[in-house]
Amino acid sequence: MFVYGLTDSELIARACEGEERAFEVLFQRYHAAVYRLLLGITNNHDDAQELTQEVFLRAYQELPRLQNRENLGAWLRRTATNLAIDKLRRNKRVRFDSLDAPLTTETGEEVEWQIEDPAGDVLAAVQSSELSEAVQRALGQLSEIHRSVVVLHYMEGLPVEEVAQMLGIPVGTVKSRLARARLALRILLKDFVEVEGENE
Amino acid sequence: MMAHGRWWLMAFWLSVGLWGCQPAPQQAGAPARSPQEQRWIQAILDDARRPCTMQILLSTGGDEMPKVIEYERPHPDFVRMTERSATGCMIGGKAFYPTTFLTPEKVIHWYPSQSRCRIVPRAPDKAGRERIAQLFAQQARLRVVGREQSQGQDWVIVEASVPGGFTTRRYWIRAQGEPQIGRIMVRDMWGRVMGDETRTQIQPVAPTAQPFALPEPPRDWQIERVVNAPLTKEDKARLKAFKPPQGYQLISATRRTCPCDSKQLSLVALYSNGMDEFSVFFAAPGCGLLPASGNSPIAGSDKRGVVVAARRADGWGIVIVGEVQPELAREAVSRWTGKP
Amino acid sequence: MKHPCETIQKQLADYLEQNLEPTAAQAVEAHLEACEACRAECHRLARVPELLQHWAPPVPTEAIWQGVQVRLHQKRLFMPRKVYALIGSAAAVLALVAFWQWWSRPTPPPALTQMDMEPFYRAHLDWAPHTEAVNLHLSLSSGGEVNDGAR
Repeated sequence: MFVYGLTDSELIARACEGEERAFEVLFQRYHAAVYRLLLGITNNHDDAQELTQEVFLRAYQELPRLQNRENLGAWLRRTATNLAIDKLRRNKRVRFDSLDAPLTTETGEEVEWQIEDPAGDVLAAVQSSELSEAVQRALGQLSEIHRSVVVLHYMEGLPVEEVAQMLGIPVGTVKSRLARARLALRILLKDFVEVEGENE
Repeated sequence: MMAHGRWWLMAFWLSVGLWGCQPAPQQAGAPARSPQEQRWIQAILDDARRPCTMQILLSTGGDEMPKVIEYERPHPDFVRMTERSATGCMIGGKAFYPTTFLTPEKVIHWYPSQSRCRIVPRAPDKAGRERIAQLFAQQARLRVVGREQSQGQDWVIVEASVPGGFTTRRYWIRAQGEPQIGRIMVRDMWGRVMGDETRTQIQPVAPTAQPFALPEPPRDWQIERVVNAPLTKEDKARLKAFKPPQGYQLISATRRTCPCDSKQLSLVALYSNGMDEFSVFFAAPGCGLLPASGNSPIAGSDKRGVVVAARRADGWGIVIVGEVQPELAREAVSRWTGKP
Repeated sequence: MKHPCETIQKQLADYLEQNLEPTAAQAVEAHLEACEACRAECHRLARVPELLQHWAPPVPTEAIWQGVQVRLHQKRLFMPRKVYALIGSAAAVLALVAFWQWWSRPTPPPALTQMDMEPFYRAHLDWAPHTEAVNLHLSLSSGGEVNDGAR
């Protein structure tokens, strides 16, 4: 009856026997991370919610065939990433095979190579919000091609080689996108990057 | 008439029993966490790492005067706590108060009026602390025990405990906006208050990379250092032979300065169930603090937890100290010494 | 005319991603050693990935789980369970057990008289990782610093 203290593989075994509670505990363990990953890539709550459901639906069907049962988290993340990329491709909002465009935010603002202050309203918004909200806003300002590499590499911790493989682009392109995204995020998160004693 | 009365009595006791076991369905692992519960769990976990400053009014029960503590966490891994209500001490024209500093590597206790500081390696490491948070998320049982209005805010009072654990913690969680903890009250298994901290002037701050510089102790200060050393093969075997009470897991283990004598190192391990933590010291035969091997184990408790100690025939001793039910600690000690 | 700092700062993000040719990377490093302003800018850029870790969007747990459940049941993936009949009787037994436990709950053991275990308490609080003030304070005062200065 007590399922909270069980390991993933024990829970998977029980879920495979039809115990709904065991699957629910697995869901509780991982859904937030999966949702965050999907929201990060899609920047759309409805898409993230729908895809999270899809990930767990597939997980339930795949559980009996799962090779490495202690690595469920990694399997879920990989499935989520693939679904998100498929979704973006289907929406034709992103050309993953395109050459790198100069970094343009979704509001049409082009981020230059100089380090400069963001527009006043963005600055005010960032100042008035908590860091988490500021990050959310900043991610939303990135274009999808940049957001994908940021989420997969910085947030999910995937090596650049793996990100390149997943997105079907060269490693150099991943690195360039990361560099441009980092620069944009540094501007968008201006108030949080300051190191103590170095206020501008 | 008499039989009728007995039925009423049985019904009464049954309802008392049912009322008394309100959290029982959760203990049996029945319901999953509601989204609300998850938010509370998250709020409690975030409370230990969100960068902020606040003032804490702390009472530890009994006749002691409450303390006023200035608490700063400029970074999830760094904390500075200054006891403002203590007697200050002037050093170089500046007032100093008893202060504890936490950095990723060290815990430093600063006792200016005694010209003394104590430096302890910070263990368990970040992974260990995360493991504790994970255990809390998995094992803690929550229930709402009340609502309150104070400091111009509405609070929901949530009680957390782990089955088979030692403490019960009540968290005052802000009902509106981002959940924030305004007060924490810790009671032991007998309901005695171990600590009650009320927070005011809570200010979230942006994390900084270099949170604060550690002050240099003046030259004439006495500096106590606790030393850590890696485990030996024998230590590992000793650790393996120790079985903690159910629900507790090994978080960290090291050899460090023995509490009896700074020259001897002893193996110490930290166990946690997510909420309660206890240490096990395996003291070498040279440790003079433990009972002689012929004596029965000794046990006691105070507001910091429970202590159970015993020595084996081969001279090795074991001490369990911290937040653990004494019976469970005694059983664990007996299992290790092989004596009932 | 471009200031050297401007040229370097353009390259800093690529430098941090290890996306520069070795000679260009060396030039950046040499400049950083000499220039405090560019070093500070490099630190700011280096903090970006760490800041992203603070992103904690609210998660619509219930809505997602309901969707999963509905879709799993539509596909009839969950097996029927046969335990409901047991729940009623189990609850009654639990009630009695809980009452018995409450009734016969233990009382605290006495304070130690046989031996002074203070050093062990202190050593435990030295490293128990609670960050609540309660625990930190206990370790602070057990170290000897109490209001009256006595131990």
